[in-house]
Amino acid sequence: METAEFTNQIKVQRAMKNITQEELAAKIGVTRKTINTIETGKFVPSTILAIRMARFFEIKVEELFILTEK
Amino acid sequence: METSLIEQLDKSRYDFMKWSTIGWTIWFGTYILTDFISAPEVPGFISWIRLLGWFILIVSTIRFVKLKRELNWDNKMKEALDDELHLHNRIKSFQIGYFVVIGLTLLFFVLSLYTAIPAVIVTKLTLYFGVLAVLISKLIFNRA
Repeated sequence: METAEFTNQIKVQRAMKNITQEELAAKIGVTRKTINTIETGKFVPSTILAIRMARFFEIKVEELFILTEK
Repeated sequence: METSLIEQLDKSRYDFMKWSTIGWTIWFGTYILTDFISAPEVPGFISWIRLLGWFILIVSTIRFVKLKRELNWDNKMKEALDDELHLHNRIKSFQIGYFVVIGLTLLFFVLSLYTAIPAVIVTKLTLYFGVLAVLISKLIFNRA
């Protein structure tokens, strides 16, 4: 069976923008816990939230969230 | 949106959950305990513990209602607090509660084939552990 690895670049993008998880959460309209669980790969966000985050970082969704087929 | 306020409200909600769990454990736990204890001096002592549990439950509920009312005027803040992780965790907690209730029902059904169990004890235990499973799992999921 084919497996896929889902990773993200949120931490990198945050570092580039120099903002904390709490600040990002406030900009997107969620709690810090949500950002934390997405960043650490424990929670997969909805399409809407993924688009909101990508828009905030001014990059494509595929650049922020990477799905690698194995 | 104000960052610290969201985190503050999120912490308040977590505290409410924590105290509700403690309140429920004590308050309803005493009802179950009295079903198993028949000593005459114990019920008086238990009724004080029950009162404490009831008080904790009432205070935490008042705090929660107050928080909900405060949030009513700010839709953005409400949406941020009830975000998709919160809803996802809530669904998972109710699923756990559901399986605990189903498991207990099955357990009591099997037990009833061998011995007579009073219906009131079965109902109380199922309700107690079902609610407790939801509350505890929600606390664990929200701790992240």
